[in-house]
Amino acid sequence: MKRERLFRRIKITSIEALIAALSPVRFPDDQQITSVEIIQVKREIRTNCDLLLEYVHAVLPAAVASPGRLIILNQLRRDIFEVRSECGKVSVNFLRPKHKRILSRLRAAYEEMRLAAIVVCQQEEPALIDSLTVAL
Amino acid sequence: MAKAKKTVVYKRVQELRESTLSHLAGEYQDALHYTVELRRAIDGFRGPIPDDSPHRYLRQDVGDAILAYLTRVGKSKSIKDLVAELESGGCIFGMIKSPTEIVTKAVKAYIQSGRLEWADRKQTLVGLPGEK
Repeated sequence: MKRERLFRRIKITSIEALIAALSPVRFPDDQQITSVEIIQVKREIRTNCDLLLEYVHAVLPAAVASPGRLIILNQLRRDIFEVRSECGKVSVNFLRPKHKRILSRLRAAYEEMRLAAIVVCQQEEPALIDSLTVAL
Repeated sequence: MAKAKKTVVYKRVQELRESTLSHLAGEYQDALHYTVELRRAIDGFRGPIPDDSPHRYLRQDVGDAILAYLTRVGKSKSIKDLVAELESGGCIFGMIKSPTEIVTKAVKAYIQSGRLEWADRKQTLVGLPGEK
C-alpha cells in the first residue's frame, strides 16, 4: 500500500514513462458479455484514461508556446473526457448478460482517444508510435 | 551414450541462441544510441528542410506539415492527397495505424481549432481558412 502511494507520486512526463505505465485494453469478443466483464473493461479503460490525463496535464504548460502541440493535446483531453463519460453510463437491468454492442459506443470513443494519443506521440516521439499503439 | 550426445547438442543450441540474442541486443542498443545521436545532430541545425527533399516533413508533426503543404500549394486538397504528400515527405506514421486515420484525426483537431477548414460541403477537401 505504502509502495503504491509512493509510485502514484511519480508524474508521467514522457511518452516512454506513459508506455511503461499503460496496459492494453481487450474488449470481449463474445456475443454475450457479463456485467463483471463490463466492469473489468471499464476499470482498465479508466486506468488508462487517468494515466493519459496525467501525461497531458504534465506537458500542457510547456506546450503553450507551440500552437500545433496545444491543439493536439487539447483534442486528446477532450477525447479522454468523452471516454470517461461513456464509462460512466450504466444500462438498466445491469446484472443480466448483455449483447456486446452495448460496448460499441465506448469502443468507438476509446478508438478515437487512441488515435489522438498516437497523433500526440507522432509529435513528441515518432519512433514510439507503434509501442504506444500496442500499449493502449 | 545417446543421452549424453543429446545433452551436448541441446547445450550447443542453447549457447548459440544465447549468443545470438546477446549479439542482437547489442546491435539494437547501438542502433538506439545512433538514433539519439542523429536526432541531436539534426536538432542542432536551425531552419526548415528544403521543399524538394524526401525528408521535408521529418521534423514536423502531422498538423504543421499539412499547414506547410497547403500554404505552399495555395489550394485545398483531399485527405488522400495530404497522406500521399506527407508520406513522400518522410512523415513518420508507424506500422500499425494507417496514415489515413492519423491524418484524418489531425485534420479534424485542426478544423475544430479553426486553423484548417473543410473547403466543400461534402467535407472531402481540406483548406486554409478563407481560401475557398
